[in-house]
Order: sequence, then C-alpha cells, then structure tokens
Amino acid sequence: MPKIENEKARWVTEAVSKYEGVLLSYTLRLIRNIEKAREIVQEAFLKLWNVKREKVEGHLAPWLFRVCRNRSLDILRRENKMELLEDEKFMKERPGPDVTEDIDKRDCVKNVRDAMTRLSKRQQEVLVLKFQNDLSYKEISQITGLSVSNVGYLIHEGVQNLRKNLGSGEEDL
Amino acid sequence: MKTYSNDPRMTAYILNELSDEERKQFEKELKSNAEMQTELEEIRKTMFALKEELHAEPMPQLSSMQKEEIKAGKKQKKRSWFTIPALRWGVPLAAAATVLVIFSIFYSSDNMQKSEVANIKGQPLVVAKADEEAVEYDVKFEAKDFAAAEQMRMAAPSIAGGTMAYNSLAMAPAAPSGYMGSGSPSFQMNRPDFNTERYDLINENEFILTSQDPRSTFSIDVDTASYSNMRRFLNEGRLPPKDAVRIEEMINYFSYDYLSPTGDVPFSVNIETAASPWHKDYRLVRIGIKGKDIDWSKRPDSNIVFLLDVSGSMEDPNKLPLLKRSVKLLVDKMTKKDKVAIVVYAGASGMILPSTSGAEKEKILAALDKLTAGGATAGGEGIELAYKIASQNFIKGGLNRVILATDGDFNVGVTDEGSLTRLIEQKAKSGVFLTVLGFGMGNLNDSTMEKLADKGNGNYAYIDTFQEANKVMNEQLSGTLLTIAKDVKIQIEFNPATVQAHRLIGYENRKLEHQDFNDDKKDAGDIGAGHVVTVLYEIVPVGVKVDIPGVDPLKYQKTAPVADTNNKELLTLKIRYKAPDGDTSKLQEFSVTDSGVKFEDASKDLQFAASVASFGMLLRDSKHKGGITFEDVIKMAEAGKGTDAKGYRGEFIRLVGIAKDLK
Repeated sequence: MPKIENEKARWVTEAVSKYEGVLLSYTLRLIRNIEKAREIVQEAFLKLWNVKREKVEGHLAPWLFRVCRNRSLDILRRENKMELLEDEKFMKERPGPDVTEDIDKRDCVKNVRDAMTRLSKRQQEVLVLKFQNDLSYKEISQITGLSVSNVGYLIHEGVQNLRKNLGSGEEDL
Repeated sequence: MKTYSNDPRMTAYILNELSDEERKQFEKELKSNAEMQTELEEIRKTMFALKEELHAEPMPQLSSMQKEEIKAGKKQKKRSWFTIPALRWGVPLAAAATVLVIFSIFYSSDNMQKSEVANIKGQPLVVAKADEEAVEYDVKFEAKDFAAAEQMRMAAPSIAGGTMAYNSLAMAPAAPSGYMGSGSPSFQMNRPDFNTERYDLINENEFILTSQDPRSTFSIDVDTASYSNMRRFLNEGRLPPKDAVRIEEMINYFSYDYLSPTGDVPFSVNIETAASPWHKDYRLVRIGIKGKDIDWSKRPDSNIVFLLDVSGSMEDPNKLPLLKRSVKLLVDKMTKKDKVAIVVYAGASGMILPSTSGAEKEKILAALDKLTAGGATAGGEGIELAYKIASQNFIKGGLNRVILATDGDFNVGVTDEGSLTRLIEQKAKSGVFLTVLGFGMGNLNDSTMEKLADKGNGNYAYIDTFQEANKVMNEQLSGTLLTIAKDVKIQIEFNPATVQAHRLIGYENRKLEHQDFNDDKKDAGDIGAGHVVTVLYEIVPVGVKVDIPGVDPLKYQKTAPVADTNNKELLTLKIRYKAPDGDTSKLQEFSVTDSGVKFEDASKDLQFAASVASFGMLLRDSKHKGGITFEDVIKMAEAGKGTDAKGYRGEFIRLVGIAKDLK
C-alpha cells in the first residue's frame, strides 16, 4: 500500500540524513575503505526497510551501529584482517624496551586527532561511540558485544591515555 | 598511591553512568580528596576536547545513487563492478602458476630494420578476468529484530586469493577520506579534500621542429611507481590525478623482449620503427634498452640498510604491515654474503637492528616483527643514521644500498624538500645507492620520493599490493638492487632531411640540457640488472603537413646549412653510461633508418608499448592523442598482449576498462 510505503520511506530517509555521517565515520574506522564503508552503511539502511518500525524505535542508533559493525567484521574476517580489531592482545604483547617506546616519549603530539591514533583500536571505537554519538555504556555494550563494565574500563583507559599523549606534547614544548 | 587514576568510576561519574548508590559512595570519597578533584577536572577537560574534535570532524556521505536506492528500498540490479573495487580483483593473476616462455628476437644494433619476432615457446597463461569475479552483491533481506541482529549475514562476493584484494584508503582515524578532485563524475565530490598527496606538475612535451632543435637529450628512468600508483587509484574506482601519470614509468612497468646484451657493454640497445597510431602519416620510433641480467645468486657481497618509516601515518594495513611483508621477501633471499641493518624513524630515529649477517634470518625477522607504527616522522635524521651505518659497513666493489620505505610523509625535522634532496645528493657521493619504496596513500609524497630516488642514485617503486611487493622484492630483485650502469643519458640527433618534427613521449622531468650529455658531472638515471627501459618518439616525416609554430628567421646569422638529402637516416642515437663505481662515462652510437612498417605489422611489444602510451595520454587528456579512444587502447593492447606470462598485460587491459567507465 502506497501510504504505508511512503511512511516507511520517509522514516528511513530521515534515519539516513540523521545517521549517515556518523555511521560512515564509524564504519570507516573499522573497515578502512570508503567504498566498502558506503556499501556497508547503505545495506544497513536497506535492512531497515525489512524491520518492523516498533521493534527498533527507541534504539535505532545502536541498531544501525550494530549492523554496520557486524558487517564490517564479516568482511575483515574474510580478508583475514581481524588483527585490526583484535589488537588489544597484540598491544599487550608488545615486547620490551625498543626504540618505538623511546620515540613515544619524545614525541610531541600536536592534537587530539594524532593522539587518538595511538590508542588501541578498541579504545578508539568506544571513544567514538561515546563522544561522537553520545551512546550510553549499555548501548555501546549492545553494539560491541562487550560487557558494560568492560566498556567503562575501555573508555576510562582511553581517555587517560589520550590525556597522557596530549600532555607529553605540552611538556616538551 | 594514586588508585583513582586507574579507577573507571572517574570517567563513569562524569558521564553519569554510575548507579545512584555508586554515585553517592563516589561523591563521599571525592569530597575530602583535593587530588581526586583535580584529576577529575583534568579528565573532564580531555573529554571536552575529544568531544569537540569528534563533532568538528567532517563526515563522509553516501552517494546520491545510494540514497536513491535506499529510498526505493532496493538496489538496482546491475551495479558497475568498479564501484565495489577492492573486492573484485580476486587474484588469479598472482596465484596462477608460472609459465616458462622462451623468446628470441632478432635485432642488429647498426642496421635497424623491421623486427622479427621469432619462436615463442611455452603455454599461454589463463588469466581470470575481473569480470568473472564480478559477483552480484546479493543482499538477503530478512525480517529480524534488534536482538537477532547478530545473526545477519549477507551473501558477499567471493574473494579469491589474498594478495591483491585489499586496497584501503589510509587515513588518520579522525579524518574521513577526501577525493582528489580530478574527474570522477560518478562519485559525489562535494566534500573537502583531506588527501595530502603531492605530485609534480608535468608540462607535456610538444612537437619540436627539427629546424629549431634537432636534438633531444634526457636521462633514462627505470622507476615504475607511476604505474602502480595509477593502478591503485583505478582499483579504488577513481581516476588518477593527471600529474601522477608519468607515461615513461607506465611503459617501463612492463617487460619487453629485447635482445640481451653480449660483450662488455652492460646493456643492449634495440630500435624499432612503425607507423604512429595517433596521427595518420606520422611515425613512431621505439628505443629499447635492456640491462645485463645478473642472477641473484651471482651478486657481489651486499651491505643493505633498511630505513623504515614507522610513524603513526604508517599504521594502515596497506602500509606498515605490507611493508613488513615486502621486506621479509627480501630477507628471505639473503645469505651470509649479505649484511642487513634496520633503522626506523618516527619522531626520533633509532637503529633497531645493527648490521647483521643475512644468514641470521631469525634475528632480522624478529626485529621486523616488533615494529609498530606511532609518532610523527623525522625523515632527515633517519636518513643520516641509515647512511652512516651503510658507510660504516661499506663493501668495496659490493652492493651498498639504503632502502627507504615510507608513505612520503616527511613532516618533522628536515621538512623542506630542498634540504632533504640536498642531503640525499651528498649522501649519494659516498657510493651508497638508494631504493625508495612508496606505500599507502593520502600522504604519498610522490614528488619528493621521486626526487630522492633521482638524486640518490636510485630507483623508486610504489607498492600498492603484495603482488607488487613480490615483483619488486623478489622477481625483479636483481633489477631493484643491482645497478649495472650509472648516469645513463641519451642524446638523439634527428635528420632534418627526413624528420620534420619530433616529440619525446614522457620523460618530461628527465630532460637534460644538450650540453649536459657530455658533462660527466651531471647526474642521470641508473639501470639495474635485467632492467628494460623503453623510450618512444613520435615523429613527423618531411613532406607531411604539420601545424607547429615556428620562430622568425634570424637577422644576424645566415640560415643553417641544408642537410645532406642523400642520407636517409632518421636519427642518430648516442648513449652515455658509467660503470656503477666509475666516474668517467663511455659512449655508444647507433643510427636508425625507418623501416616503413605499418603499425599492425610492428612487433607485439611495440604495439603494447604504444597502447600504454595511449592510455597515459588519455588519462592526461593530452592534446596529442589524436582521435584515440579507450576502446582503441584495449584493442591495441589485446593485439600486443602476446603470451603475458605473469599476467601484467592482462591486468593493464582490465585497468583501461575501469578508466573507460570512469570517464
């Protein structure tokens, strides 16, 4: 029926204009390819068509992020690029005193953007979800599959690391 | 002990994520603790800055076609396969088996006639074309609610092989990708440009009247970076910027079957003529130089220093990880004849592996594995250190080389290009050669890297995929690392009795002053073992109408003596070169007469080289392209494809197809 179709079309289109940018921004961080990111985000919106509006109303954002995330991970998994997300483990296992650590200390980080790049992928992800999209710990937990306390921990760690990275620059100046 | 700095309640409190009880408890602790309050304030400030940054970040957009499809609720059936670039190019090319092909071609250096392509043995390689990989993106729609969202799966195109599949846009996480503005009408171009790629402006060579200037002088170039860079753009569904298209590098990406040199001269010169495919009645002259092959196992002892960029911008999968894999390829081929050292630079530079025997592979690979990206780049200091180590371990008569791998982002330290190139120039005098490997994009400073390779007695390759890494660091390793002739210059004198005008295709930033040819102090390009260098000229024969502006006749000098019309030669080619460790150049000379051959009757190699040149001209919108179209290029390339053992020519044809759709 055209009327219902139009309603739905309007709803979906509104969702697009509201979330297009942040979803793309988020997905791009995961998948690192603008064309793939666009495909993924487009598909998420297309999926929205087949979902009952009542079922997602109220948590539309977490739903969309979740879909984009899952799809991104599928692709990364398929391409054996999982280390992009799983590097928590990798970061912890980084071996002892090497030059890169000295480099870190002497480095003058110029801004937040640079500082962000030095956080682990997981930290970056939750920080983006929290501070760019204002999602709650619970919503972030739903999107990422991490426990709420884990999310809290990552956010705290991320912010503190960010602070440290930004701070070291100022000291050197 | 500051336990609260690690206490996640600090951030949770600010973000209102604590339960009522937790909050009450927290506030109680906070009340009497000044340090905790200060810490809290600092955290708040950081959060604020972070929030600002993330909200200020410009956001990417979907294309309008995509939005239309969303509005309609479904995708259009036929999607041009190039819009899902990276997933398409499976990699049957790289995964396919190698094939033995034996060629013999007859040329004689002083009597250039029609080339005869003799027996080609071997079996043609079946190369899966991209179209076979082009799978419909079949999106399965299922009615699921949020709780079940995890199980959503979609039929995705199969990704065959692994080596070429991944081409990603590299960028710092907070910056969305920008697009180079040059002509991609099928994509939305309304966002600001965050790419910071840099290319040198190219002023395309014009036709020059022989009466005005009968000479053409230039330095040879073995770099191939422009081709792989162009490939990277096209594989992502974008046209490359015009200034990134260096036609000579594109032509030289491919191997051609020129006769190998015999005797003392380290290279052979093979010349062929045919009709021009771009203008009726014009002619093409193709000069092919083939360097002596040196088997890797017969190399002299080597002293190699890797200079690796591990700055933050190198983090992306097509940068540092690909770099590590590429370097490992080389390390695999090292033996006790070799010494390898690794220097990294980022913020500060450091030697992470002192000069170590190639026999100790484990040690070298372990040092490589430890590398992670982080920090800003200070290329200048790294270069100093790398050359210092190379000099300390110098092997007289051996192979001494610094291999610089970077995305070209020289942001800190010796920033301006002038100082950097002067530094390299000076270092080159020490007898240590340079190879520059470019990775990634966004910060690809193509212009600087090319200049460095140029000034540093070296070569420049752009590694866009693992397949390319394999080509440069494995298949053509001898060519990449073993220089067999240095400072190779070419000077051609055209005969005005037969040649009315001439145009050198490409080599715009390789041109030399005519007097530089005999000046041994003037630097030029180097040839590596097995390297093949091709130069194309388009010439206008005497008697053909041409519209080139001339200059007024001279007032104080009589006109030049008329040429000897009995001499039907087209041109005389002179080539100067030095031994890799020599300082005095040697000279070789050849004269060329036109064969009169039609284009279709020319060798496959010439036809293919012409197709590549045509493609370059189309990408640059050259005014000399005549009426040629992308279709023509494909036909020409197909005709010239030959056996194509490694599939590179087939890949080229596919790339032309992409560009055709993008224009």
